[in-house]
Amino acid sequence: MRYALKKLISAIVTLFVVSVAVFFAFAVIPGDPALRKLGTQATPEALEMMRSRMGLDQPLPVRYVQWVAAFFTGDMGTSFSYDIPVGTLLGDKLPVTGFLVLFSFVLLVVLSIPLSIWHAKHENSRLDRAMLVAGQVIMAVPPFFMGILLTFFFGIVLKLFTPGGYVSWQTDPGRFLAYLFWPSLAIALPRVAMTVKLFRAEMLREAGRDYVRTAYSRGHSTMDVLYRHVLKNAFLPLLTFLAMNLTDMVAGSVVIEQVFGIPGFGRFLLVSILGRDYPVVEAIIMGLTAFIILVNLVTDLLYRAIDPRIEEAS
Amino acid sequence: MKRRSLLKSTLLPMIAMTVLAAVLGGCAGGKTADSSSRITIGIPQDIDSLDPHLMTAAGTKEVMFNVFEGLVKPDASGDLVPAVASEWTVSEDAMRYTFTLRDGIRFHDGSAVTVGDINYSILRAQGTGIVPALSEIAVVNTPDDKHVEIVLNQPDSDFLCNLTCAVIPEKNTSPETTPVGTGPYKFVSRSPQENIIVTRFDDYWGEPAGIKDVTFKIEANADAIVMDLEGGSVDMFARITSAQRDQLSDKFEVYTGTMNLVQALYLNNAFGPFADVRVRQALSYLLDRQGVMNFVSDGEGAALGSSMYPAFTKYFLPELNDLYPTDVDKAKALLKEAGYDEAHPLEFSITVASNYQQHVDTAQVLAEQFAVSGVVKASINTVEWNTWLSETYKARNYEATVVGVDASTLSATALLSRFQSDADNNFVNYSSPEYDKAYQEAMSAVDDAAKTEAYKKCERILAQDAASVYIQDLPCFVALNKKYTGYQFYPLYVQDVAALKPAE
Repeated sequence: MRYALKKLISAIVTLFVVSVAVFFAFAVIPGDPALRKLGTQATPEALEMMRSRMGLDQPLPVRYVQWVAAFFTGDMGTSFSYDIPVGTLLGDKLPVTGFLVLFSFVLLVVLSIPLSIWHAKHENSRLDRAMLVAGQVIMAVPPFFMGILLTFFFGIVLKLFTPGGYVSWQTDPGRFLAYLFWPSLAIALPRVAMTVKLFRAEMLREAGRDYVRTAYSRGHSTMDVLYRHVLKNAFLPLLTFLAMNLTDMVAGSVVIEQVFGIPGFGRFLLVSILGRDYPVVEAIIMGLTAFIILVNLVTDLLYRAIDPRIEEAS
Repeated sequence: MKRRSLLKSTLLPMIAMTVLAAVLGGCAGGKTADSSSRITIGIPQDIDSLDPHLMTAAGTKEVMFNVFEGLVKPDASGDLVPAVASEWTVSEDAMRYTFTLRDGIRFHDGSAVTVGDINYSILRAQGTGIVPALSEIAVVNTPDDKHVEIVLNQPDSDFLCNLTCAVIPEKNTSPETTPVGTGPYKFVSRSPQENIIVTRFDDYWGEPAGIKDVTFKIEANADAIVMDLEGGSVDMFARITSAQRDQLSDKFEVYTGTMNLVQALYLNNAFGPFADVRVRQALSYLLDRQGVMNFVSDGEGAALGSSMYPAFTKYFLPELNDLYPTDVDKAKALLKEAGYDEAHPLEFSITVASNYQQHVDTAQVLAEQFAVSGVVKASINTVEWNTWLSETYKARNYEATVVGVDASTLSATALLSRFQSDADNNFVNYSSPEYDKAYQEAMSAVDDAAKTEAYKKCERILAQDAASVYIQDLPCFVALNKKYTGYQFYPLYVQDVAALKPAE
């Protein structure tokens, strides 16, 4: 209970610090949203009117308090560029980034776990070594470049998909998911290589331990030892690594959305920063922060569920 | 045994889902919607507003040109042609413009356009303060239900070009989300950062559009344009670079035109050294326009010698291009007179917005060309666009900058008014009583020939004073899939989609 409370307080402090940083960052960097919206020809009166409509004529601390207060009531403000509530604007795009990240994560789990087990079983075989080298290469490729490679090879050469042919989930969920497969793969591939390397090593380390020899001596089969003992023990470090990857994938999706022309949170974040659309940027950053905190919290709790010894140690 | 069942219950469905998605992906890729009744046009950024009286970005206006019309509208040859008004008369003193409402013209929602709507639209546009020229309107009269009379508070024979401002229905309470106009296309839907969809308006008063359904797709990533064109998700892109043009296959027709802007090294005349006309002229002598064009855009573009581009055939003076032929010795002599030599070089920084690659490239070539003299040291300071807007353009806190200035209306004033000493948007701080006088002459002239002559005089003064180092009108490359034809260049930022048609 105390543990959960401690976690909660640290989460609130983190959110507070991030909110201050993101809010005041825009006070430091140059750029006038009203000028941006009304253009170079606008009269000074029109600019003044727009600033007051955007609430920019108020002192900064007042704006901060108003913003935080509104946030608690679920009102994230109105987008400067789109003149619609930020909640509506981003709510429409949540499934886009959500599915992209989820899809990448599913691919990561689906590809890396069986692959690692295979590697561990066939340690030091020729194929094992060859694939480790290939993994090393894939790991070194940044996701955006992986995206370009995938687009070129599967899109232009093999014509398995139409580059830039994104279809929104409202129009056609099937084609939406089908298009997301490729960007998800671009995000997942380098991470699959990393996970395999880690998980394989972890399993081999566990396999060398005494209890494995004991298990064999009791007459268990290889499969049994692997799945009932080794896997269970090697799973803990993997869980942390996967959770880290999940939060990292959110960041990775920003770049990949750009490469594949997907209008998700990443695109909105970039465009809104460039367009000085403060409410949108603030809402996205706060959302991402909350997500990362949540994932870390869940990982911690899962950890303790899987291995009760952690409870005693802390 | 427990582990194994976990594997079965979670991992296997996941694998199944992945495989399914891959298969689906394969299917979607095989399908190509190849119907000439639709076209997808890539645009580099999302539109800034659907409300015609609030949109300011050139990239928005060029798209919404297809949806909204004013009393008049520009055509491809640069003339103003009747739109919502079928004809008009201008009084002798150029203070009274009378328009006749076109018979039977309808809005996209089916309702008839009334003189009340016109009155409402003009006053509304005036109220937003985005088009300062509309403040010249003293009163709008509607003597009967066929005529609208606009009375100005000062004579202006050039005022017509401001009446391209959109006519919209008074009863539409949400023009920001459900725009209604009278153009050849009507608005269907919009998804922020994704697309804007329009469809042919069947009750259009004029020539119906050639292609029924049009999707403007936002191509935020410039590096993906060629792949998207080749892959077929985009059929047209209006502003590709010369490098992208070279990468395109022969599935595409590339139309070459100009961007219709004045690209120059704008000099802050209030910055110490640039207050001296000899220094400004020296920089003009050091410029080699062809050298810039060769580097920036494979040698294409149109040379400029003043603040006017060739599409304004009526006003453009090609002879000004030769006022300062590249002459390093002359430049050095002028700089020496002004007090600069090898030991005391002229130093300044060129501020340039990083999102405009052509301007960044130009600044680099200029710095090299200036350095040849051995007397000029220009450094380059790249900033982000918003910083450029507020610091350089609005606050005029810079020494020199490379940028392109475009015209928002079909009038010479669009490119010349800013150089009056007291103009709000005189971001170069140019000040010349002679220029102010010439500009006033142009303003008050009612006779077209006298007016044109006065505008030309303004251009000459700018060139002789070397108010800035005028470089070029950048080339513009439009990629259009050969399934379509009929692309037309306008002397303004306009993408006339209604003129496109399927190729036979």
